[in-house]
Amino acid sequence: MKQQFQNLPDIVKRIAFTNSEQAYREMFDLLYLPVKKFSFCILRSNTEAEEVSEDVMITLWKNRKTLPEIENVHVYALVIAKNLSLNLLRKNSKNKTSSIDEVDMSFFFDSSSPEQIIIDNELKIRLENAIQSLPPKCQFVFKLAKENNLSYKEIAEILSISVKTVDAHLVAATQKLAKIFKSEFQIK
Amino acid sequence: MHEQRIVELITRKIAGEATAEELGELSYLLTKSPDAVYYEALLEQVWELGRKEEKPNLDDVYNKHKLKYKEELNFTSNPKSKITLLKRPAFVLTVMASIVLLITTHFVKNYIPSNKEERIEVIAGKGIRKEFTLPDGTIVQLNSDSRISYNSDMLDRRQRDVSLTGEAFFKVAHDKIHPFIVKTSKVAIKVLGTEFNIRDYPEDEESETTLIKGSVELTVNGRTHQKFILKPSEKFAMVKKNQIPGSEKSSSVLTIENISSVKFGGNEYIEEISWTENKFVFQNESFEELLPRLERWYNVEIVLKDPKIRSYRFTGIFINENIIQALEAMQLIKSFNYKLTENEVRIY
Repeated sequence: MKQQFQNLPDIVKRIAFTNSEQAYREMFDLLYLPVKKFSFCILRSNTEAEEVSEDVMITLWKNRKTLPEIENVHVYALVIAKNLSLNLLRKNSKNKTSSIDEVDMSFFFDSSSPEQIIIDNELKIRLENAIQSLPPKCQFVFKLAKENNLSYKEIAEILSISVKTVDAHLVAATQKLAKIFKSEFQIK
Repeated sequence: MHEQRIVELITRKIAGEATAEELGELSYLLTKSPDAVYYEALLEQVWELGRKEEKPNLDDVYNKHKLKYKEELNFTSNPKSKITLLKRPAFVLTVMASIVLLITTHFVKNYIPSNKEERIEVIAGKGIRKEFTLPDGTIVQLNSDSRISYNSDMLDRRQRDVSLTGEAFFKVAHDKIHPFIVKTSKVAIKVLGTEFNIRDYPEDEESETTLIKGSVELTVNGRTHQKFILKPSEKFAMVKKNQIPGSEKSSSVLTIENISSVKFGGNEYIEEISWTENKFVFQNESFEELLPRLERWYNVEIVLKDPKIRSYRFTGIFINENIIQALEAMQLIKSFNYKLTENEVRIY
């Protein structure tokens, strides 16, 4: 489990035993944004992502008595988010999109922090295009690993694929990036 | 050359999923392709992009949420529940468990000496020879393209353990109570205090151990019931023969032979350890046998396909010659052509 979620098991216990608002608020603070970001990957809409994220929080609350039994609540929350998002997508779109493979993902490198001296905007665009040329699942794995700080095992659980596949997808993505770096910086 | 594998390993490292072995392999590969460290730096930067550490205030969002789901969110926050809280057996048990855990961790942390053993690794890149001393006073000379590793707490243990890939010459410090053991992928050598040379490169088919002084006990990995004792001036060689088709086993030929010195220009050289004096000595060896050694000594890639030329035999010694001078000297003995390009030497 990642650093930021190490208090989650305790918080979950408190919610289960005491129905405490404070504990629920703490869980909300920890999970709301990551779940929203994750859902946005699938839904591409801010309002819908917020809707799903709130839905997930309430679902966790409704199941609070059994939450302490779940080993990784963060992953559990994302799995719920995935299912809710795909359902919503299917409901909305005329194409009956319901699998990760058909989801359109863009903006992998969309923050500009001043410390990035080596990677300038033009290079960012090329890197962006490179990732977008990969199959959708590959892109999703890359995005999850990079932004959500999820372990191979956690990604595998959320997307219902094997750990080996996660590794393969991630390596495929970085090989693409490495190719661009090689030509850009003339690495031997 | 190893680019693909390096990128693969860097990926796992950045994702936090690399095993210790993979990390070791990565640092080793990076010594062979030093430019590739750029990939690691760049990929790490990529990983940081889009990682905003913002923690925006969710008060508004939360309050809206609370309002929207007023019915479902039936919190209990009255003082009465605090007492019932304490009475709940599960809660009490958890608290007690945490207290016990807290005390135990405190105890373990402060009273049991931390067993922080680190694995120390010394690497000699291609074309480089390194000499250094181990914590116990043993002097090690590492030959080109070789790697040695040992635990930082080596002196605290029952025996002194060292792992070797490649070639090294050891002058082991005397310590009767703590045997010095060198492990390679193929053999394990146990010594008490002695001078010896081990050559065991992964790409090579054969592994050689040469004893100069003292005595060693050698066992082949996987056949530890069979022990070989070497006396000074003896050499143990293990050549892996090709697998017998249809069987699981591959056979190896083990020989113990006496080393003899090479007499050249009025001087005597011992071929197996001449590298420690920066001399490359070879006696009646075929071009084919010399190729890997030449490649390592001069840090070049050599392409030689002609079977006739591969079978040519040479005896000689190189002290300060560069690769061109060495090849021209060899041409005086047997006729062949060579061509040097940026990456390799072609012999035809």
